[in-house]
Amino acid sequence: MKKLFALAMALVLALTLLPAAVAEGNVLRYGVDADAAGGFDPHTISAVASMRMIGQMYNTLVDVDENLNVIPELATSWEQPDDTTYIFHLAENVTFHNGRKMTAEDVKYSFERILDPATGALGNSSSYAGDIDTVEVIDDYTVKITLKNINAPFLANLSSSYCSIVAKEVVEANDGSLLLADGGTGPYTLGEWVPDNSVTVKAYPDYFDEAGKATFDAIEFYVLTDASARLAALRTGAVDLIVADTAMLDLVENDQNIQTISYQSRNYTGLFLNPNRAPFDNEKVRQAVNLALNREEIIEFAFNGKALVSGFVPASLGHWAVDVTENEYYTQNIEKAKALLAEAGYPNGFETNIIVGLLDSIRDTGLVVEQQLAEIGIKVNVMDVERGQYLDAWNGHDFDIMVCQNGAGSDPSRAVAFFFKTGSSANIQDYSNPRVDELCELAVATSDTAKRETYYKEAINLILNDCVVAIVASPQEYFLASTALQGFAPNASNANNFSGVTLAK
Amino acid sequence: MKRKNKPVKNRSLPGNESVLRQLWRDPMGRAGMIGVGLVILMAVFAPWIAQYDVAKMNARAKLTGPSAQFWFGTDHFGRDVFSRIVYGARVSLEVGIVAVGIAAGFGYLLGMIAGFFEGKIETVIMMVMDVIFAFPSILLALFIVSALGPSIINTMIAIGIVNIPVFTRTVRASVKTVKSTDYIANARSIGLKKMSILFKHVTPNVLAPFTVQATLALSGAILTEASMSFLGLGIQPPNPSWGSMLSDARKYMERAPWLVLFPALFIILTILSFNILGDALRDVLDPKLKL
Repeated sequence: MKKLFALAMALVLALTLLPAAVAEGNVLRYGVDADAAGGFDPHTISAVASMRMIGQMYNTLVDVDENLNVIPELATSWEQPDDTTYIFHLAENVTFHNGRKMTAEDVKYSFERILDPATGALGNSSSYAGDIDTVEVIDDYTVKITLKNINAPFLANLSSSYCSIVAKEVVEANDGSLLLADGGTGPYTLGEWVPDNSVTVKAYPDYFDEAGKATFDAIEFYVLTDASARLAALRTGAVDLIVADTAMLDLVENDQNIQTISYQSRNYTGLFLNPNRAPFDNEKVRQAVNLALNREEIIEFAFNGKALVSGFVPASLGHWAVDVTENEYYTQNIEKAKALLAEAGYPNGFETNIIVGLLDSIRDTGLVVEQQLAEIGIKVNVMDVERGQYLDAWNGHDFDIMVCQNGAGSDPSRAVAFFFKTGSSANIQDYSNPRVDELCELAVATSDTAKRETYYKEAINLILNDCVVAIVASPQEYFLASTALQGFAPNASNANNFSGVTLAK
Repeated sequence: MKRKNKPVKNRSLPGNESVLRQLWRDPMGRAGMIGVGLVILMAVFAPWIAQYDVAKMNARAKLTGPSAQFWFGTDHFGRDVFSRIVYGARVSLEVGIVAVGIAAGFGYLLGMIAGFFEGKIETVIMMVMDVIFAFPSILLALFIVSALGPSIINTMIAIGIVNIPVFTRTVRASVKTVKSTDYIANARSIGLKKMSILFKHVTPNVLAPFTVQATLALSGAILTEASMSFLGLGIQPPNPSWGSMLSDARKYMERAPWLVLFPALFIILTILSFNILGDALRDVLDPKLKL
């Protein structure tokens, strides 16, 4: 039976993946779950699917390693004369893919482009480059950035691809957009994009950093949205690496030719309750919802057990995370939940809607929650909506309960302030707690890490105890690869880092 | 004159009992009747047949194969596939019957008006029908559901609207044929009112092709519902629909092939039964084919 399935799927794939079969040379073929969305402008594109290519094509001033330490990239070193001034010394042998040398002028131009509202850049917020006041060119390879106010995580945030350094002439030659052009300095250049089929990036021979140089002649990203099709492609050797789904892990456990590679993500999945809508405007109802959940069971069903019980600052953020298992609302207590509902005036429960969509793990979480909330008398209508309607609910803050998967970023300035500060663009609940706002401001205004940790942890606990969210889990991310693939060690800071990766012949 | 009226009526629409008996005598008709009968029994007696709650999850029985305890195995939530299939029959039939009811009701009215009154009103009605007909039906249904939002009612409405033109055309064609017969001319000549002619004399004679069309449309409606649910725009979870069960099963196809096998089998058998029944019914009801 299994062989028959594999054979049938291999046949289908052989037809769809014909180019892969004829690819020659040292090429990495990578089966991904989604096509590049919109294009490859590092400043305006946030889709994970596009980031995979953008990460190969562009560089940032600095990078962060898996332990969140800032490390050099285009800037070989930097100094900080005072809290709001940064001086970067640039590598002198960096060239753009058109052959021109990169200088301090390009850094200045790149940040001007990000800060120009007309660009619509995602980095134009204080979570990234938005607090920049001026960028001064001191000499060809020295640049000084002055901030409007203290922004402690600024340096780490510069590692985001939203702050990539781009070539002015390429932007101008393409009417101000890099969606379909390549103005980068990275180890690979943009090759061909065949929408809904594949994207190819080609090695850039003059890459400035020997250690980070391209190890493949090209990387070909094949769009295989169906998980079974990706696995079949890997088994038949049509691709070397795939984005895996936890549902397929058991199937390859005993396969000698396939290796499993994983890392703990900085994403989390959970329920967002609307505190401005009855009955969730009642704190006791929100507490009851939190207490009714059995998070381990949700993880078992929606993530095949491959996730950690988590808050909105997952354990992968290291010292910033709080141990949620100690939080009183993280242990299921049906009796107490029922009592709280009765106190809130709903002794027989109530009916509510829960919006799910986008990802299987989001949908499955919604379905398990429906069952668990039924235990305390809450009747949940699961509304599985398509992408557009899901995003409308998110943008319009229009929901009773919404299941979301968010990225916590690399610093609590995103994980806490971006999602929970009054008026922040990602605060979809219109949540407002003056003390949380105050703590977020205090934490950004100091560069003392110990103090920032104290502030953020207080804010995290306040939000958790307000019960406006019922965060469930932080998933483990998986790749499956042919055993010939060597040196691939993804982490939450950089899930698609192919530097030093090789394919054994 | 009046005598001529009756035999015509009898020829096109024999008594119900005789139609059923004729169907039963035909081997294909019998197969169709048994198949459709089983699906109806399954849907009606679902609460007695299904042993488990269709939404009840069971972490200890995730993705187990068919066994004495779970006849058709369990899905990735540990839910009993057999129970979900049984309740899925209910969803399929409900959607099918209501959707075809909507389509047949509107189709009948519009077809009658167009066929009987002819002229401008016929042109307008048939033009609108042609426009609806020109769209691929699943695309149109998806469009309607996207606009109204996915729910079981909207799925029924969408499938209903999509099927109106087929009924309009069938009824209109029959009405036109009947209209040119002598007994209608006679009814007119003795001064019967238009409405009376329409309902008393024309209607019985278009019922035969109409019934056949309804049976065939049912299978089409069930299939459209399955397709829409497969695409996530039909029945909302956790309610089971054969289409959404298939869709959920894709990820587990290799590990748990029974998740694909059983819903697919039931879709195929149900559609087949309705189609066979429809064909047999046409053979029985259409006097021309009997010659």
